[in-house]
Amino acid sequence: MKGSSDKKLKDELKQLIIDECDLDIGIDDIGDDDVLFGSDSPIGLDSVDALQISIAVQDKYGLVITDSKTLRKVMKSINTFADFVRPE
Amino acid sequence: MYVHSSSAFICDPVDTIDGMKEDLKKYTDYYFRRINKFIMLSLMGVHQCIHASPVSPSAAVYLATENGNLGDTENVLEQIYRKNSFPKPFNFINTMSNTASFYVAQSLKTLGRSITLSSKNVSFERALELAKTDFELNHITEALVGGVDEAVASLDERCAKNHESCHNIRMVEGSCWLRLKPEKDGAAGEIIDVRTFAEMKAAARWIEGAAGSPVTLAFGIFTTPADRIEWRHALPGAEEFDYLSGYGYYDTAAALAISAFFLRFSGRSLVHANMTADGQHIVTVCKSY
Repeated sequence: MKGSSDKKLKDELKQLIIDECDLDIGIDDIGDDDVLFGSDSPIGLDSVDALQISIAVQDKYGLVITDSKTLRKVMKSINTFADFVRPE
Repeated sequence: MYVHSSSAFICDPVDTIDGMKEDLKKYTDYYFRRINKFIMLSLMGVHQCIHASPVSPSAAVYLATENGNLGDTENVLEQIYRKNSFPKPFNFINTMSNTASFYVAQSLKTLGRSITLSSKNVSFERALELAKTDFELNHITEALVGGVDEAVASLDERCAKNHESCHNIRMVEGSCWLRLKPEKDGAAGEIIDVRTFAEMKAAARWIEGAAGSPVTLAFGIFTTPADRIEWRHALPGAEEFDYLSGYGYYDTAAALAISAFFLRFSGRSLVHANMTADGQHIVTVCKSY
């Protein structure tokens, strides 16, 4: 099952983002297709948040994001992020 | 320089800052993200000091600390050396010495100078000296001077240096601040002088003429038992303010002595005697109205 089809995984990733980025929101405040980064995003994460999340993903899932282009692509939304964590 | 308000925020050592985050909401609507315990302590203390009253846009911030962002420095070292990993960016950024005073300045919306300074054993006294100089040179018109440190576990070691027992002193997290202005109107008191002496005899001679009356005497943790006797001789009849037993100890506890004095006592002078790491005597004289 692809990550984007797994609600449990997506909730886990939302909680990881909330914890790592120190956000004062709940997991229900992040939509699966919401843009995560930039001024158009409801939660408005920035590049430092991206680095924080990438290191947390490496620690928790053993997945390494090697360059900023991939990072931006992977972390576009919760659905893309979940598919990166579990592609199949 | 005149003290317009003060705060003495202390608490028992804590592992998480969640409780403090909730408490901080009483003082400001701003949500502080990516902060650690040291920054949170700084914010709690300074916001308790200003009591939600506006601060001048050019107000200066002098944050005195012995250890700085101790917890995050430990986290970063743990991540690098124990886990053999990259440090987490938030932890790494927060180890930079001026991060806390940046957050303080940002939350107060002040664009004046913001400085973090440390000077072994007497960081708060040195911050007062710096603020005093800046007032005298007309570089600033308002200052927030704080002494902030996280609780550390080595109180016994500190006391052992002076062959003293620490059984009646508890270690606390602390953040104590003074709001200083050059105007006397509306002030709760004043910082009269901060002086350093190489010899105890010279300090005792000076204080006989410099202390007001009635006088309260307080000692920093490094003041030796022998020196305490000399201070008592120099100021006979002085009431002692044992703030370390009453409130607890943290590494910039001189800020606690002075802030708590202004909160608790009126119409008195305070003489706070402390000792630098190289054995010099540093004396702070204050007066509450």
